[in-house]
Amino acid sequence: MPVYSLGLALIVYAAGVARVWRSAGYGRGVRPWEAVAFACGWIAILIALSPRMDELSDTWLAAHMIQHELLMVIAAPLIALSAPLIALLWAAPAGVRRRSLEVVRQPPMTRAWARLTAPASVFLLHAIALWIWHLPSLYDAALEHEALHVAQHLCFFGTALLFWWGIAHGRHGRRGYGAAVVYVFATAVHGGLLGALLTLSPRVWYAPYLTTRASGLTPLEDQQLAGLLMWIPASLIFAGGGLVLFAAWLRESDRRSRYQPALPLLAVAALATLVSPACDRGQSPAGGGASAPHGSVPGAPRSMHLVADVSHGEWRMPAGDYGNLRYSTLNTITTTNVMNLHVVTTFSTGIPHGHEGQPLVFGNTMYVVTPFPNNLVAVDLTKPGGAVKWIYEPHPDQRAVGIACCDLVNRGASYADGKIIYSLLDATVVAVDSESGKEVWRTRVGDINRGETFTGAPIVVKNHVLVGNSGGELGVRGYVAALDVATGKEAWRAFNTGPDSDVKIGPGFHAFYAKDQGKDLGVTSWPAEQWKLGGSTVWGWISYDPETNLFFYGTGNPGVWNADLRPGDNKWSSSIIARDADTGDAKWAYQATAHDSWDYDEIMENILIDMDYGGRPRKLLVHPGRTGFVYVLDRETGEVLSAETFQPVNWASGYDLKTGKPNEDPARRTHFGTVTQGICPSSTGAKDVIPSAFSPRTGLLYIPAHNTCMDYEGIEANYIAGTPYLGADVKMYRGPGGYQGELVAWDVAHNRKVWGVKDEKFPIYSGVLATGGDVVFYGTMDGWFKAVDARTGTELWKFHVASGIVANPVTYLGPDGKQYVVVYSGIGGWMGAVAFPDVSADDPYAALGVVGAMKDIKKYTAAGDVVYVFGL
Amino acid sequence: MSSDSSRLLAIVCAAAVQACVAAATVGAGAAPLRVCSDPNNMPFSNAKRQGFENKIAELVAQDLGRPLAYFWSPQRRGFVRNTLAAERCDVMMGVAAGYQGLQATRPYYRSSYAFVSRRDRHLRVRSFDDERLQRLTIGIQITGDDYNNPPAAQALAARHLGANVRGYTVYGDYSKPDPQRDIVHAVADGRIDLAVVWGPLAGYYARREAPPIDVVPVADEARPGMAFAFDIAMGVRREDRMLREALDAIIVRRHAEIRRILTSYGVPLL
Repeated sequence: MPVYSLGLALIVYAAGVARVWRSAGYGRGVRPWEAVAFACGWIAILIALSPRMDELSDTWLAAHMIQHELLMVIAAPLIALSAPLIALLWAAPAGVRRRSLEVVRQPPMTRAWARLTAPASVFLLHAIALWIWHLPSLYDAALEHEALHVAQHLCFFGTALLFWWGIAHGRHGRRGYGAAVVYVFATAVHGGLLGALLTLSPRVWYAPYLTTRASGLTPLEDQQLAGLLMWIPASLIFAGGGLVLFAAWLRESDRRSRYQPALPLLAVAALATLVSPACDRGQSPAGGGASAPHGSVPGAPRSMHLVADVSHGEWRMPAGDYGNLRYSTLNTITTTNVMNLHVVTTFSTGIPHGHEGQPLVFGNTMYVVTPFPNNLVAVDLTKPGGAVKWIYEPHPDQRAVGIACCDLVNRGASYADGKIIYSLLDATVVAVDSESGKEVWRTRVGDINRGETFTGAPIVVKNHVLVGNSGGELGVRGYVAALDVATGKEAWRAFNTGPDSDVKIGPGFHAFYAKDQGKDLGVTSWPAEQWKLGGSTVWGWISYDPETNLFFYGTGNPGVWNADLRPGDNKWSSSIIARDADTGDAKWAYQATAHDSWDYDEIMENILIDMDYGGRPRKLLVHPGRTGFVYVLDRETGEVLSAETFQPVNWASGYDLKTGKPNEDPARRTHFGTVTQGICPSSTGAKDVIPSAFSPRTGLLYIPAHNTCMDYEGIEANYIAGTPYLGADVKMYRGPGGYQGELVAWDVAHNRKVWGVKDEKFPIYSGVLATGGDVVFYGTMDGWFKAVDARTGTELWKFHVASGIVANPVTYLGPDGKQYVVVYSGIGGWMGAVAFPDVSADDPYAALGVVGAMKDIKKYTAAGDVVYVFGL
Repeated sequence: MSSDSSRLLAIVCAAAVQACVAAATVGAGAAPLRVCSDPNNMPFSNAKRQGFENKIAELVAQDLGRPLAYFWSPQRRGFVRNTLAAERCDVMMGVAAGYQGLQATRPYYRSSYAFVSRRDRHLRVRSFDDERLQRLTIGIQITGDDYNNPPAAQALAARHLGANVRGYTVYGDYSKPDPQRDIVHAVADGRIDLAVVWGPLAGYYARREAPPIDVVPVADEARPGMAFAFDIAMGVRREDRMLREALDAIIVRRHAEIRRILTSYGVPLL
């Protein structure tokens, strides 16, 4: 239908222009630029009503908005300015023309016309049409009924045409001009307001757009984009129109000499006021949704830059983002409303073992990896309560259970290339189609027959799945392997001990400190061939910097032998290593603890952030270590900028930043057969693998810390695989201060703790989540899920779940556009396993001494397996 | 009722009661003895029941009048927690006396680590103080327990002989039978000069090598934690006193047969 009317309009206009030009001369009656304006306006309508545009606007509100804008702020003004009435008159034969003019010049007609096209009238008509048709009920109805939809477009175009006509051609006296200016600016404001409401609303207004899409923006993001499209361009165009009128007004009056200088300033001021709120919001609309440009986060200092996009409604990789911030921009849950958080739904995984890790959430589906047997459960979040879509059961080798050292945990999955990718305990990596739940590939990477297991979460960088191994204490040699994301085939394996060729140290490698420089240190820092059983496994977190294409991770302890049997630095155990994501070539490495004798694995997260540090912008890597120190490194070179303690520590008094070496206290080194008492932190560390979170808004690192010290005595009968021996008698207990755990808020820029929330009873063994609403979430081992104020640490809300929490909370946008928080409950892991009924709490030396520190836990929690989702 | 019928009735009732009691007794006794065992750890046990712990388990089950059943799991860290304490089985056939987390019976044998070398090398090492050790490569078992290792590791560390050490994991290549064989085999084929191996393993695998292998017990050292000799007992759950007492009785009564089984496997007994 529109094709015919458009065609007709064009013919009529062209005929009219042709005739008037033939009769009065070229450019008379209808000026050339007016004809051009008509042509442009006509093309805009053509685009707006094209079938492709109609198709897009069925799915995307933003596309629909573009259609309306093309009609109302592009086509309408252009056509209003194209002298359409003249062309129309001249299109008619002379007789018709004369008679029409007579009719039109009748006083009642002219009066009616004047009133209709007065600035006030056209303003009102335009405003009413705009707002009424954007009411959800009418808009939805228009989407549903084609006739109404046509009426909507006609209404928009018609009132817009009148508006621009009225503004441009209406009767103006001096007062008229002033009124016109006011009305145009007023339209800019109210139009902008409507756009702002659409952008800022946390709810989706128009139900037909609530359908899920295969990919791309969520309904809420789409609405925000549409709102922005209305807010910014419309405001600009109306404001621009207003300014033109204003200039004309000034030119006409004799106030020009006095006020003309003011015009540019006024222009800037007007534009600024109208558009700046939109720009601010345009960065990252509240409620999350439209992609935040990855450099920044709303409310953060301008100097703070992310290396990669943080989560803003979905969670697609273990830490939420490549930089490992575990931060989400979602902010509808705030410090003022989080006390209203309640359980929205729960479900069991059915496996009462330690639930570490976190789910993935995207495409309105939640993906949960269970502890051994490592099933993958896909939950449809659009169904009430969440309904299981499918369960993938990989059936890993049962023997892995007997071989894994520390409960049967799994630390999560990554999503890439249409697949959910994660590790199984038996050292296999699987890729599962995220829609169907069918296995796409399965690769055996490690060998459980040699004591290797996998508990860590892989990440995907471009076409590589990066995954590390566990089992260092069993003589396994640590490595990171890269698998092809499409096929699962191994591309390369970079070891952490051995000759440079194995460790992938080549000409591109440069360690910052002299102690880490030299050839084949992965061999020469060990006696004889002990590097072959050199541990240094990678069972923690991997982070990635897309700008430099480097990934970062920490390595575990030196493996098998007591320190006295392996003199030397034992590289590259307990180190932080930077590697190229394509080739695995090492770029730099820093060994935090040489010749470890305390079991200080350094597999903790390495948080990547760019911020002002020490007076200038630096590219940082922040690593809260097992050792009790927060290491802040320059991630380009591996230089340690700071190493300060976040819990009581006495194995070393500090780090010499010139050499990178710790100033160790020799009295706190452990030696088999020697009693060493009061070593802080214990082997479990001031922090274990459980990850911290960083908020760019507060600049604080939220560390789940432990205050545990140990006595090392070395006389206890042990028995493994038929072989008896005397093992270290290690007893752990709470450190100075008498508390066991603390959520530490660490000011990265100033290298100091600003506040802490102590837990008298147990170490904090859960991950942390920071959000744009300035709420920080974490859990305790006795089952409290808590929310604290990100700036002050004040406890705002808590809820007691069925079993202790050793998992990492995650937040996301549900299909209804609301913010939810999800966390696993299910005590376990190295320290939590004491809660299991089959572990005796009577012997303080059992479980490598952990029982001593955790003996009360059976009173507070038992094993569990429930996933909790919270919402407002 | 006539006195004959009442007597008959009494006899029938008594018989019935007897039968019930007997059935109950037999029923209870017929509950299988469940053994927690490693399916691939010769000479101790394997899934084919070829190990000496399997043989001793058969003896014990037969003595108790109960059928024998197994719960298989690799014997590593957390073994007791995952098997015995989890009530998937009732007895562990071998455990170092003094091991926490379970209740041990009286020991049923005592053995020690041994120096293992090829006879034709004439090494005859008897102590870690032997200065020849400085020039030998020495194999040690690795138990995989966070820096805890068999006593030989400590003895060598104390003498700064770490550079001479070669490690052999106690689970070896678990996909193949006889995973603990490699340390003795390495001595036989000359990859290492000497090994310090737990007695039962040393004795069993030494016999299976072609070149004659010497197995010489290591004496305890005075240092704390330097015990090389260990008593081995069976282990049951802490609260399972009845079973422990029954096992203690069997260990005493069937002592000679148990000893015969052990020596047939080459276990050096002290």
